[in-house]
This record gives sequence, structure tokens and C-alpha cells, in this order.
Amino acid sequence: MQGNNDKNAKKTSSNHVSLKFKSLDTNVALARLVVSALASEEELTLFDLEEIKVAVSEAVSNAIIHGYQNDPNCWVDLIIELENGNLTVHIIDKGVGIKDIALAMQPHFSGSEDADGRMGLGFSFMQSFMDKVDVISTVGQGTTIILSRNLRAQHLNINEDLFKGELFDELSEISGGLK
Amino acid sequence: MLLQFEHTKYGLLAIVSGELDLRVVDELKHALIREMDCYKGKNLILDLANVNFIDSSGLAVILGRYRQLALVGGNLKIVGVNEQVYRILHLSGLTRFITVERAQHAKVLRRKYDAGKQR
Repeated sequence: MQGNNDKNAKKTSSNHVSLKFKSLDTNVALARLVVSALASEEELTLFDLEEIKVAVSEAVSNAIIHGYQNDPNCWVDLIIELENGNLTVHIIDKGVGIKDIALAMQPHFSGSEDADGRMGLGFSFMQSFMDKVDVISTVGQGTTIILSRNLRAQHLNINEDLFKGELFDELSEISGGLK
Repeated sequence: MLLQFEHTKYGLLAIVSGELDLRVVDELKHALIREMDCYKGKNLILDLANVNFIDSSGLAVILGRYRQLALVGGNLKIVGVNEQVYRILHLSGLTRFITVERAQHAKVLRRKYDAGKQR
């Protein structure tokens, strides 16, 4: 316990957590729980927390499925920074990398259940639920996804168009073609 | 993840508990396919009342079953979802194709299924 003075201390705060974990599917839950625990230092609604958890889940799933091609013997780095309400999460793999980042980030969803089937939707969720998503990738060297969100501002980034556009068309095609 | 099945006259009821992410999707997918093979009807009802998290991996499994059932003229319905999970289903566009009943309706539906089962 700190002294009472801390209560009236200036409202700046800074917390960093760094975590390294094996590329196991069980660690997807671990990663999102750690991030949501840290984010809970700020006052957030259940919806805010859910959005952050989904975004982290998507990024870590991408690292395991795409980056490491489901090889469970690799390492994923998770670096979380919370500075005055600004949350930044780095998800780093040293896997195969992404050849065409813009293409991978397009909100397509093939409807197939393999890794590529969910990837477009994964990036859509990340972009919709965070203020900013940066992807740095080199083929053969790995991928870093940087998720940022200001937890003290109302999140207005939910882009419904993302879900009404190509994704909607593809889903329409699936259902329309079969009905 | 926990998974229970009940054969009702409204369809195969799959009661899923836990978090639907990468960890469980293969198991969930194969269990659903296996049980649908045993079940004589074409309809699947997913009870997600005890699911507190879903991401694109979980959505892919649901969409996969939707496609599979559509091929044989079957129907997929999702019941009992909490508000957070509903929001994810809605934002993904899934609610445009699949009937999703939120938690407050679940008890009524459950009574219906139970009544159907007793016959």
C-alpha cells in the first residue's frame, strides 16, 4: 500500500507488461485476459472490454495460425503499455510474415473454416475495435501487430460499413447461392 | 468448453459452454458434425447461453455449420446469447442470415424444447 498522498497525485499513470508465451492455442485466452486485466485499470464498460479482448484474440490467433502455421513450439511476444489511458498492445511473431498486408487486412471472409477463412474478419474486428492497427511484416522474418486505443475517450471507431461491404456481399453469396 | 446434445422435435439442440476461440473450434466443429450425422432431422439449434466469448474462429465454425445445413435444406438457429456475444455476432453480419435469440428469450424457448422433448 502506498501513502494517502498517491490518491491526490497527478493523474498520470504508466504501466508496462511484457509476456512471452509458446504458440499454443490455449495462450490466446491467456493473452486477452492479461490485456483486459491491465486495461481494467481504467473505467471501462463490459462492451469496451469485450472489444479489446476480441482484438487481442484475433491478433494472437493470427500469429499462431498464420505466422507460425500452427507450430506449437514457437514464441509469441506480447508487450502491453498503458500510458495515461492510452493502451498499446504489440503482438510479435517471428513466423512466415505476410506478403500483401493490404490484401490480408481487407474485410473479406471466404466462409471457409481454415486459417484464411477467418483472417479477413479478424483484421476487420481489430480495426473496428481499436483506434489504430499497425501491421509491420517481412516475409520469412515475422509480423508485428500494434493495437492502440485511448481508453479514456469514447470509442467511435466501429465502422459498420466494414461489415456491410464486401463481407456482407460474400455472406450474401454464400446464403443466396444455397437457398 | 463443454458440449451437450439433446435431440428435440425442433432440431438437434447443442448446448455449448465456455469461450469459443482458436482453442476449441476444431473440437466443436467435429463434435457438431458427428452429432448431426447421428441426428435424423436437418435443424440445428445452438444454445450459447453459457458462452461468454466468441471471436472470428468461433464465428467461422458457426458459419461453416450454416453452410453445411443450407446444402441439405436445414436450418440453424442460435439462442440464449448474452449482449456482448450478440454484438460480435451482429457486427460480423451473421445476424443477417442466422436467427439469433438473445438471452432474455432463452427461457421461453427452453420451455418449448423441453415440451417438445417429452413427446
